[in-house]
Amino acid sequence: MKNSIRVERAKLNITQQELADQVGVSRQTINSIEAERYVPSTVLAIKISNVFKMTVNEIFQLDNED
Amino acid sequence: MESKFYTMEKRKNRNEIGLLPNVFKKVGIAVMLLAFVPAVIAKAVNIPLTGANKELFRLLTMNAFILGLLFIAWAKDKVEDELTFAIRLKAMGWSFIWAILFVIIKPFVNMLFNDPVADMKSQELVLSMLFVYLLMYYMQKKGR
Repeated sequence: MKNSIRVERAKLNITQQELADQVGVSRQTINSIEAERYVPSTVLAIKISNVFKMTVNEIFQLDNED
Repeated sequence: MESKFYTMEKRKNRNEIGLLPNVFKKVGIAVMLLAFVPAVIAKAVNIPLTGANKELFRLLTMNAFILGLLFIAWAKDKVEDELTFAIRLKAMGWSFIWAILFVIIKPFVNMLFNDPVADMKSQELVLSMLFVYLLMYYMQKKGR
């Protein structure tokens, strides 16, 4: 699963920690999602997309392996 | 207009497995340290640690040690989220596989050292499971 969290974060100029605080997880969790080591739950994916005021599909996309 | 979403019964404890409060990590360490107190006292007041005495002290120490490790393993981290939950599940899986391998392989290891083939203490198994759980948990946490 690919995601554009890093890019969207840069646009909003917020750190991993700030995003983590807004969605109620640890900074390491955001880092793992950005590095595509961890696929978040639906609830967390919606929370993250809400922060960026986008839809989940705009942030997260399936890649060839999914 | 009728909503197209079905409302699922809200479960408060969606991703929770009844973990203990974070303070139990410290309690666990304290219990593990206290595990050695009976043996130290016995040494100080010259109670001979032989036969039944020795077994009793060994049992007390091991049980307290296991309880301490359980508190540490089952206490919440400062930030507990869905990733730590996933890591915990993986660590439990590893410890379960370890338990099976331990039960299968231990008798053969015993045989190599001329110990009784069937001699296996449940405390050894539980202790090693807790060690594997904690090892896998902290290794995965470090690599996240």
